Amino acid sequence: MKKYQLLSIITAVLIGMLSVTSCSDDFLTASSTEKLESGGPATEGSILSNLASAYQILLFDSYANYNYNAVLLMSDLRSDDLYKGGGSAGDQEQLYKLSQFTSTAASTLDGLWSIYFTGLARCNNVIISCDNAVNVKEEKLEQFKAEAHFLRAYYVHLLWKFWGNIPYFEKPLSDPPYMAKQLPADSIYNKIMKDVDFACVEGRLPMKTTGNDLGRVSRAAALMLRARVVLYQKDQSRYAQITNDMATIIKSGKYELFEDFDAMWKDENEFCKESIFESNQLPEGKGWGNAWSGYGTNLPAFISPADLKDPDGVFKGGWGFGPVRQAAYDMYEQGDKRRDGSINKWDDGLYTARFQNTGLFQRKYAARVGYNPPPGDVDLNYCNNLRIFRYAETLLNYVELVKIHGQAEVQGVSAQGCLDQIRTRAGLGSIPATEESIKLERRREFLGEGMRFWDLVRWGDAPTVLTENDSEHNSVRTFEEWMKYLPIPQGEMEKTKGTEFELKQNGNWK
Amino acid sequence: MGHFGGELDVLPGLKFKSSYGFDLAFWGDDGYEYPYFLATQGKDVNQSSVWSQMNRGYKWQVENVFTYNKLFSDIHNLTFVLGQSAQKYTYRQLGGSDYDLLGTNPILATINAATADRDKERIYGGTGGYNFTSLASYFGRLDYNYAERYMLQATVRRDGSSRFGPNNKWAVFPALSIGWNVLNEPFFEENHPEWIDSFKLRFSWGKNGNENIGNFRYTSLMDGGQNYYFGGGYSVATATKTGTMQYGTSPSALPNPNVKWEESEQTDFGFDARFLRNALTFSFDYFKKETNGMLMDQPIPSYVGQSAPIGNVGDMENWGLEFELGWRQTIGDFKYNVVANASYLRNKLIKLGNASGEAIYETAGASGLGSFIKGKNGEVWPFFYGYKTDGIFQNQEEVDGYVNSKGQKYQPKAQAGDVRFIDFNGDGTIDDNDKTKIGKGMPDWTFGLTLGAEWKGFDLSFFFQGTQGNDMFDFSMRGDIPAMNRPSWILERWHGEGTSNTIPRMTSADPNGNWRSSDLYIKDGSFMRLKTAQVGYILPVAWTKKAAIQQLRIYISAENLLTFTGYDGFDPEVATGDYTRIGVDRGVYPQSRTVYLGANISF
Repeated sequence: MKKYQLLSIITAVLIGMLSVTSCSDDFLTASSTEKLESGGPATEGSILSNLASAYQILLFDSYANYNYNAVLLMSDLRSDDLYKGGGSAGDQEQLYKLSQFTSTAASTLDGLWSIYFTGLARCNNVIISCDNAVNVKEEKLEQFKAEAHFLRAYYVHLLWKFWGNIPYFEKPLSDPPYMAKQLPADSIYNKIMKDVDFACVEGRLPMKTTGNDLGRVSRAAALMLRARVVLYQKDQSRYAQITNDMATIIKSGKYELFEDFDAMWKDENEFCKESIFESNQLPEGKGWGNAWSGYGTNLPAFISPADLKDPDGVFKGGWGFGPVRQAAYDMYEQGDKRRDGSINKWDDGLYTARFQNTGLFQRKYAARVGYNPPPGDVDLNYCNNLRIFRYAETLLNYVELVKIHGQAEVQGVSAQGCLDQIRTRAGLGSIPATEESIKLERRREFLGEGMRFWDLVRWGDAPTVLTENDSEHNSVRTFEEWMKYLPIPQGEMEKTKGTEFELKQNGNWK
Repeated sequence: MGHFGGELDVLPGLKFKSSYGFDLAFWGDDGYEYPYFLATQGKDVNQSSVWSQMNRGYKWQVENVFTYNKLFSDIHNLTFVLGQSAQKYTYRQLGGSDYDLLGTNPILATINAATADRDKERIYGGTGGYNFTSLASYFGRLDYNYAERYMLQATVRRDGSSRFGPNNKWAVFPALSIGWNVLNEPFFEENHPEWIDSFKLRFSWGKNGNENIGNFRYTSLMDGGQNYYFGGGYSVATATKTGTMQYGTSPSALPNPNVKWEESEQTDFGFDARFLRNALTFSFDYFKKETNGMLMDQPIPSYVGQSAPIGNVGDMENWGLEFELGWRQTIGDFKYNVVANASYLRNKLIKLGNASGEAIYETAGASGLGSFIKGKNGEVWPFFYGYKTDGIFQNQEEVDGYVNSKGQKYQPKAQAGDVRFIDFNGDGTIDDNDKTKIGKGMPDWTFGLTLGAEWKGFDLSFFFQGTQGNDMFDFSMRGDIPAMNRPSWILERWHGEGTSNTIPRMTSADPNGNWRSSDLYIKDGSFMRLKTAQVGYILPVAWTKKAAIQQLRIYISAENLLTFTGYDGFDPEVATGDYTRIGVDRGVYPQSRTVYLGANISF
């Protein structure tokens, strides 16, 4: 009898073990020792870290997500300034299709899409962490928020220009099915304006950032972004405001044209007095195998001629993409310093000709000796900062707003005077500011800076200027208005297919 | 490493066994690199460097089990097992690296002998990102054996893992197996033919769990290293950094608080038979395995801007047949045996867990290949995906004559020598919607054959392995670089009317996109290979005894000696890593043929 008693006690203990889990749940509850959980209270340090990751997106435009997608080049490939170049039509085929307006959903700018949406998600996170701030001074918090709103507006404005009708969200998409509603381009415009207006409010950001804050967003950058977005939307209700914004930057006295146009693009003149906002690249950290890290840019290697032997030892060779068209070289007047400051003309024999060769290559961001010191994957790690906004654009925006769009001059700033400044720096005399001369001046000033195509689109000139039959350079193309938006990547279409968030393809793209 | 335990006889038939094991492991990684140059693009090093790393892992495991065994009436053998087990793992790491070594003597390749400025030094350390990982189980088992005729085993276990969130740490997994030794039935015991020795029928059913995911996938952690410099960048003139790095963080993968154990349910039916005094053996199995709630990253759009959350998303079904036939015989001094096995496997994706029921797994955009591996509900998983082709255009008339029902040219940019693609969905245009299943990397059949023989100290063995019914996606030729090495079959390309109907012309412009994903990449990957062959000889003991050697066997052995295949790439047995890439030949280094000469010596 006694042994059955013992047996039943043991059985009871075991049944107890099976059913009681509360203490063993502790045994199974591990904690992270190296990373914080997201969404928690945010100190100043963690907000600054979140903000840095939002800035980091600026470093990804040239090579990230295993794609080459330098945003300046992606903009210019559709313009009348460059050809695609590279090894052959099939070398980075999506770029050739881009330049020929024959992109498809399967062959579009997937990398750019992912990168700037990641920017959106990271900026959302900064703004949320600002809402969860603990022990952060109000004025600092205002500045952090303004920086995040600017960056979000900047990244979304790129998506908006490239794709127009895009999904948009301001909170992490952490609930199934992890998707957001696609909004029409005009609604996206309103979202961008809300953010950029937030950043433009006086007192939130300094007009110019200096010292330890060099590289951070300034109020001038926010005002410049507002002008770019409003001009692209052709939102006339805002023209007076952005005209005044330009005058405010001009009158602030914080910015000036840099005297030497060609020297402006050298390393020592990064963050010069003309620079309003630029990405801060360093020659390290990017690798073929890690697509989302590092500080370098691949753009210089990408656009420099193959196997270049520069007799002066200043420039280095690269991959031969993005050769400049002869017509772009010829658009400069005699003595215009910007021609040789923007375009490198190399003699035969100094380099290896590749696809769509013209012998003319972009100079501003050309690969230069000493700009990508080892170790590491040196082709990906040039230290050239990408100038995103410079004062020349402020002046030319003002001229355009006054002389083309009929805005009144404000704060005593003379539109003709602005144009004269630009031309004087280029080594040229004054010409009257007409629609034609202003458009040409913008093209000459910004070659290779990702401006031309968007300008043609907003001026309505794109279909006539971009349609061509240049079979000698393998560029036979037709541009229609709807093509300004690229096809949405196929993977994104497929992942949303059949859900209430199904993406609608742009235009007639397949 | 250590282990200790105890066993206690509590009562007659009732045992208690407790065991405790621990494993304390130390390992490291030390290395150095001096400057070298092989080629540009990352194949060179200009700065010497040194690194050193030490790791310590500690794992303990405890198990407590009660076993009760009793034989009733001499024929009912009953065993109860009730137990508990738990394990816990902790880890620490510390390491560092630096550049610019003082000398070129490897003895001096230590971090303390590296002289780079402080900025380039790196120190890192941590505990692997977790304070511990742990697993716990409770289990019970019942074994019943009736006179070696009927056998039954039933198991229930409840497993818990630290990898899952508070709601789903635990899951219950039952299993049952039944066996019937037919010839042990009294009737058959007396009345079975002499040539059959044993016949056993088996049936089993059970559920298994998988917790093989990263830690903390149920929540969202902040990833680091997303840094940005402020206050300056890099100065080319002085080759120094002029700014300050701000460490950057953002939330990594989306959380899924509901992620839980993956379950697979397997049913197996089979038999084992032995004939001719156990010389001939044969076994057969049919199995069906359904995996539900497969732990996979959920296929979310990339616009979400964070990595995908893990989820119990997919359902998969596998079924197959397994055969094994063996023969062993001894004739005097000569012994030999033959074992042949074959298995047949089918798999089908039941549910991918997203709305479209489809997912693309591999894309190579840069080379113009496009997407080429896909999964789709109701299909084998994964499969090769691309266009169907219909030969090569031999001349311009064929290009011009290839029109849809409206008379429009299907491929206006094509020239003679380009590939003719098929309008698979018949919509009058050739585009991505015409891509379809063009092959699969998983074999239908896998075979093995082992032959062994011994005679007077000589021994001989062969092992053959093979597959049938698998396709290769021969992507060993990069399409995006015009100047590169190509496989020799490119010599048989189209270079004039009637020269080839399978390999398109060479062109650097390639306006037709000849090398987009299509059935031109698909090749039969079936093969049979002599994986290993070995001949050995044991020297007569009389010779070796003098040298105090008990036994000396010398042998010669070879791996991958012979391969029979129709595949013209490097190696049909290509190592691909990820399961979704099975059968994709990216031109990786093939398996080597190895010959060994060796000796086994026992003293």
